[in-house]
Amino acid sequence: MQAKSELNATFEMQKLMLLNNQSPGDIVMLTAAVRDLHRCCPNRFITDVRTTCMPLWENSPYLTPLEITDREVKIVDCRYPLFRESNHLPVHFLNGFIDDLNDKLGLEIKVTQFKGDIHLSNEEKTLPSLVQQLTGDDSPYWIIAAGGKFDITIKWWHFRRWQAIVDHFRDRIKFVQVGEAGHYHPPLKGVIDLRGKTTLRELIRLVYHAQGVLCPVTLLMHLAAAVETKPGAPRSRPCVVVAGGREAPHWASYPTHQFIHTVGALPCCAEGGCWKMRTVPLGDGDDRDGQKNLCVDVENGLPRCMDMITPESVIQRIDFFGFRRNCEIASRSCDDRSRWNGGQEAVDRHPEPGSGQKISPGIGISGKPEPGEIENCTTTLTKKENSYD
Amino acid sequence: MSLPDAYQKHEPTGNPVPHELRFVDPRSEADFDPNRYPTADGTAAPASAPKDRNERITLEFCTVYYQLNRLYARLMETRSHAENPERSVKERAVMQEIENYLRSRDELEDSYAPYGVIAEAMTQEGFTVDIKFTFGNRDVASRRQTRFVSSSALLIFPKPPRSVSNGNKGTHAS
Repeated sequence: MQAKSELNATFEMQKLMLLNNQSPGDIVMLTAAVRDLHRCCPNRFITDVRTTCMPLWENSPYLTPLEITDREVKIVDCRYPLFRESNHLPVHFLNGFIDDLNDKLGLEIKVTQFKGDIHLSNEEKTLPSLVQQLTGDDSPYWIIAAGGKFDITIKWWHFRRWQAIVDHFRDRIKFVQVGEAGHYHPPLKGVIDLRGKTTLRELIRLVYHAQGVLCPVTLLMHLAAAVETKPGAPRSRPCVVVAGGREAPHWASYPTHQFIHTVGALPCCAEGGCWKMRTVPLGDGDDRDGQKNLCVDVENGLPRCMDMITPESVIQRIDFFGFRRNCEIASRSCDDRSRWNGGQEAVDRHPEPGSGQKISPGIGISGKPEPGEIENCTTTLTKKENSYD
Repeated sequence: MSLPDAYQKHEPTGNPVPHELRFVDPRSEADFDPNRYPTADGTAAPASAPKDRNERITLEFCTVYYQLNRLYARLMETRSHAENPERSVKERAVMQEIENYLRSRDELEDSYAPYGVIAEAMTQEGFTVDIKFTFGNRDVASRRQTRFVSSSALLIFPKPPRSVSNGNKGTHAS
């Protein structure tokens, strides 16, 4: 009897085909909407998608193959007009597609997690990182995106500023530069260059293994939040975002990220994000070259809001994470003292002298403190404040 | 916190793209050495006095890297002689010239950065042999997002007479 009612329920489930042709960062937000649709309306919908960047959906438990030609399938073109309200309503990008689905389907979906819904297979998780595969080195790394797409050039920061950050952390943080081929990603020196060399799934795997992320408002920022961290790593991945004044911080930022913005500090973004597209016209015939889409305050070839963000301020935000990491290491190490022989993690962190295991300190290239430095947590924190060594 | 000189000295200018070449095309000079002139995206650089903006930018970078190649060759040649005070003076002079051209290269990079221009030098034994260019106004078509086209049509077919559907070919069963 119960089986029959379940069968009936299955037949009553509505088939949805969700469409979207926007950028990968948008699609990450749509993954969250599909997750929350199912969480808030269990057993009511069978969903499939046709979007750009389909690899973002791999391993999603919320998709069931549907035919777009099936007459029972309701096709929903997903958008997020809510962004127009983002300067005066307390809403996040995660609310964007959900609000649209609520409107179009008469639902009351709510955001259930502060991140997109990206899934890795067990195989993907067990594979070594792309960096390790290429270099044989499994030390921690940060991912850096020093550019972006040509459609919204107002998000770009100058490559010499990204370079200044890489140079500052030389020998302390290993940076891996990524970026899609065909987009604007000037080469940086002193980084592992993976520009144009990763598929979307490889990028996701790269983020999975990454200790931190440094980028403008872009796909990578959303992945930094959406992709789970490795076992043993902090649950939230450090991410520093050079954002400027284009988007309201409450719309675009994640709670555990350092989101550097100027909203409220300049006349052009005094009451919220400017939502402009380009710094200067590119001459490519795109509507985004139109006057209404151009930055109104360009300084040194950058939007003033981006020019105001200095490499020093970004370095400081990265250092914040170094401090957090050092606190976590110190705190965990103190706990470990009571279970010294109890866990492999503790043993790994404190190898026996002469065991041949490499001991590496701090964060960045390394990630573990010297055994002797954990004698006293307070001392360690004082010694290690804002230090990666 | 001290930052590299490159950052402090070479802030982007944001000047609009000029309509004139910033340098004299070295290919018109008597002592031009074609072996030191880099290719652009694997092909010969554009002809002199181009009207197209991207070609003009290409020529400017080719010119700067040509001069750097030429000076680097001169530096190598100078260093091949035994060390002496005269060699040191020559070496210093060449290095100063190199420094000037490196600044010019950086200024070019900075002024075109807002327009999405990247000029990536491909080097071989210290010489730039090719420059890979990215232009913000090129390959626009490939950047256009895929547009989903969804269309539907309502097709109405009149129901055939019952007799036909029954296979009775027009004869009514009474």
